[in-house]
Amino acid sequence: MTQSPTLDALFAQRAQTVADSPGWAPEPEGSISLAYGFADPAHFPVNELVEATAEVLAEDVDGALNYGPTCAGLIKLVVNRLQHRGVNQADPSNVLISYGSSQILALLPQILVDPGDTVIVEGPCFIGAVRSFQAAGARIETVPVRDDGMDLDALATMLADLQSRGIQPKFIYVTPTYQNPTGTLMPPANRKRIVALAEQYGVLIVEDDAYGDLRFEGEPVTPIIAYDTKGWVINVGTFSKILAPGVRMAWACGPEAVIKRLAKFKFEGGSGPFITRLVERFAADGRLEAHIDELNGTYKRKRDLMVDTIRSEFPADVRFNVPMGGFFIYCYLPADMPAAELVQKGREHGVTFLPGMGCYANGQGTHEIRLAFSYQSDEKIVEGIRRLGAAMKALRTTV
Amino acid sequence: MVRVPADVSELFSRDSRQIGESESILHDLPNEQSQTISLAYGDADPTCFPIAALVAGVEHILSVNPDPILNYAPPSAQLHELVATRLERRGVAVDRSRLMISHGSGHVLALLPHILVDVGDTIIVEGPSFLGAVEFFASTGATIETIPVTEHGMDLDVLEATLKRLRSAGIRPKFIYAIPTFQNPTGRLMPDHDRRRLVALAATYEVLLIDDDAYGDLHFDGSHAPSMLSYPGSEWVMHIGTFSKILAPGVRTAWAYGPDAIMRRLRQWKSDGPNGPFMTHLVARVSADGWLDRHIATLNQTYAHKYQVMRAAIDAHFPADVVTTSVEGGFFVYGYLPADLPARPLVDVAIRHGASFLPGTTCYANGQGTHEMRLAFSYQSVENITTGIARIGAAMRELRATR
Repeated sequence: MTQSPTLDALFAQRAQTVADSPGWAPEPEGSISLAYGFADPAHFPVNELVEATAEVLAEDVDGALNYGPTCAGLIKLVVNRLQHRGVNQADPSNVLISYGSSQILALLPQILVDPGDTVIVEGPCFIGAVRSFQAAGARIETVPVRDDGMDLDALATMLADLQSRGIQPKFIYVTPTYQNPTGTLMPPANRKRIVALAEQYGVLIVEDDAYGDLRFEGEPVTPIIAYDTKGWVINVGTFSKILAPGVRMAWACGPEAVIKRLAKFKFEGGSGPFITRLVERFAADGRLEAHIDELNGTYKRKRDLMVDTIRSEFPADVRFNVPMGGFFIYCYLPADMPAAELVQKGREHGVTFLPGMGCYANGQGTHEIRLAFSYQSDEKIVEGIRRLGAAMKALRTTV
Repeated sequence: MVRVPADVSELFSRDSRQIGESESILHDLPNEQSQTISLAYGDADPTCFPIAALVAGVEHILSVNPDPILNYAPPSAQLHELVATRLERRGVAVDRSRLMISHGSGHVLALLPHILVDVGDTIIVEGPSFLGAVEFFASTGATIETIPVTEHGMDLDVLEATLKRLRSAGIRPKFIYAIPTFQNPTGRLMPDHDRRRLVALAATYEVLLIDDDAYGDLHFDGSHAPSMLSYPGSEWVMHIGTFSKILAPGVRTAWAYGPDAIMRRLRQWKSDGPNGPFMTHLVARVSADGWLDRHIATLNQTYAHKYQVMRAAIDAHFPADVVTTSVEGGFFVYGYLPADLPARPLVDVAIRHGASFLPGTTCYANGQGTHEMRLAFSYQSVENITTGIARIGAAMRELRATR
């Protein structure tokens, strides 16, 4: 259909322009994808979801299927889980249930960013979030990630520099726990320090806690928001990694003024009585915690398998981390192995992955790659890494 | 000296700096007691909810391959196709790229003013109308023009005069919000020639026509009024439909179909991205193989019967000078009260008698409707409908006696 110029004149100022939405790139036939952080489909709690559906509908069909609010029990469950992790300020009044954490990450710039405002992100990080910040007109500043997460010396320098130039950044987007893509874990001392920096400079911290429950080893992790006493942190969590991405259920916990605005800009209102009751019922009676234990056993095994296979199949000068949780292994490639060329070579060898440039807002990451161990079966992980190792060797001989 | 924000509220964007406390008139209804029979809200009949079909549906979609249902995945293509096919059956030439699934029709009704209205822009609504939608429109700072509703739906002579007046004042309204089919709250059904004229007026004046078709399938006799998308000028029509009335409100699944430029913006501003795979596959699975058509036929029998029960009760219990609409579908009967029976005092007395309704003022953006009432026959059982109407009738007589 041709665009009608007379129709275009009707749009509000904020909607004058529209971006083309990126399509879903098809995987080549027979290729093994290590590109995306999908959940392991062998561990979806299918029977439990069927049972929970029957229970929810038997118990109160009117409540579940008529017009109604988000299930109060699900909000309470999220509050309890946050409090269990040391977030004492978590309360039904400051928790919002959303359709996936990406919804929160899309709403936050709407309520915080005017075009030209500055937002600070990690490099590398989850670029899907950065794109939604950019869509709101944010100017992106990138802070590097070290072995212990976001480089807080660099952050402190950047905040001081921005302040000296009279620029007030709106928020800092950080994934401190099993970071996407590096898998790094920010230690408690750094968590305290980043909260102190946020207070000092009056900047909101957006803590993406998507992988917070996916701990394979080490001490339980306290989220950044637990160190916040003055209302400078919003914690964003999700059922995607611990139940299923397809139910599109996530939450945000943070300053009430922020939560209220998120709720207002969440135009569809609540998140649906049926699906929120279903997730609540599935999670009840310790079922969720038992499921998380099972998942962590599985993902740890798959991480170990990928690490072992990398050690035997990749050239020795490809460096990589061994994450203590999460979905990803991040690799640093030698100078003669640009990620863009490895993508091509990998496709020829029947394996795909995410090149590092897809994790930076500023074009960095040309010699970095992200490998997801979450989705593929054990056999495909081994075969995929073998193919990638062969692609690396082939690339090297052709260079 | 650089000023550091004292708290997070100093960081908010212009759009979100003031949000105001929730001032909805809809929340301003008198408190109903739990034993009150509420005829106020258009909830669905809970005895018609397809429990077994939903449980079987979850079992079915997860039994074959749960990966595209429970992982990161696009919404159900089958649902998209089902909605497109149903529109085609009503004579619409469907361009599938212009169809979007949303979380309820209210979702689309809230997104539309966000992409269309700047502060001070003019929009046109029916009076009375579905105020939930009108409140979304008002919250974006729109100036609202109200067009009366006759027994044939929106008064198109008044609409045309309004469009003419606005044009001569240099004002191009952003959209016309109409519910041509079993209008909420009046239950009126706009006839074919009026539908044609309404679409033509929208096209002539280059104004978007939002066709809220929430009750489009709920014709008691099983027929369908022509879709607003089937008339000349339909490139100006934004159609919104929902599974709320034909399956269940709680599944929060609806659809929108309209001009490409609008659809692209709706997708961009829909903050959660496409609807999730689990719920969309479930709705598609439950609806498949003719089940939805059979279910709608059952619903129409049920709602027709409940309407007849309400009609009989009204005839038996309301004073003769209370005029109520006769309807052929939808969820509501609308009442016009005599001068000595204002709706607000009446609802207070009615609640003392153990029944409630929606006062007409909550259906207008401009304070009209002081002597009007909406009665929903959709939710309550037939026994409660009869009792509820009798109680409201008693309240009418009591109020009249005390005046």
